[in-house]
Amino acid sequence: MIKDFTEKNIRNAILNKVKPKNLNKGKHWKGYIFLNDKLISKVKLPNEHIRIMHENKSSYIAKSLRLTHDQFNELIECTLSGTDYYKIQQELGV
Amino acid sequence: MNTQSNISNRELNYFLLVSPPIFSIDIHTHDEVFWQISEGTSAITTEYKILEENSIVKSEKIIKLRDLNDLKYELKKSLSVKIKAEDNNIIGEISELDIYAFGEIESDVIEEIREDVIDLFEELNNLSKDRLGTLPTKWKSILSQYVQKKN
Repeated sequence: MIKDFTEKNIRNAILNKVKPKNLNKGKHWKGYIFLNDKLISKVKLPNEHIRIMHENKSSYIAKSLRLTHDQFNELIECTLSGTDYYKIQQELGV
Repeated sequence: MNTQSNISNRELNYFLLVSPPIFSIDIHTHDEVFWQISEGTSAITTEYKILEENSIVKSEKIIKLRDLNDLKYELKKSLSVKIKAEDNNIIGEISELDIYAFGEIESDVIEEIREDVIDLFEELNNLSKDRLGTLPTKWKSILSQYVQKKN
């Protein structure tokens, strides 16, 4: 079962972690997901609202990302990966 | 207008506006009523299916798009879009293409679906065949049956 998340959280997680390419920044942002230079899927990003997106909608996004419901929950719950955090620290210096 | 219906002792009244909103339908139904409505001059042919699950009223219908409302592209044949309505939310989808849209107004959802079809068609045709994975290859094959550039 997919948990309730805000549209903003879902959007940010996708932008920051999935990093879709060829972003179509129209009314509804759409991006394309490449792996080893091959297009494997596409995703439509929610808007930057703080309203909650329930499973009946977020399940479509999970499917676009080719994730199980559990995997989707894990993607959204951590907005910053460990790798990202240590990269920032390194740029700031000791 | 062709209709088929099954009527039982239980009656639930629904008023539906057909797209385009030419007339309303008063439906007395039990678990499922299937209506088929064809409108010869419309860009949309609509089939309705009404479900009652656990006292929550949902409706599903299939809309057949006949045009893309676009200057550059057109449909070679009608494209089916499933429209689901639940609790004031409307979800439109073409599951074979992994295309979906959410909204509160059906016409907005349908218009977004049209845009998504065009955007996907353009993106897939901008990439060479060897850059398409399994799913996109399938989408391109499906879309090529439905979408073409206008002359």
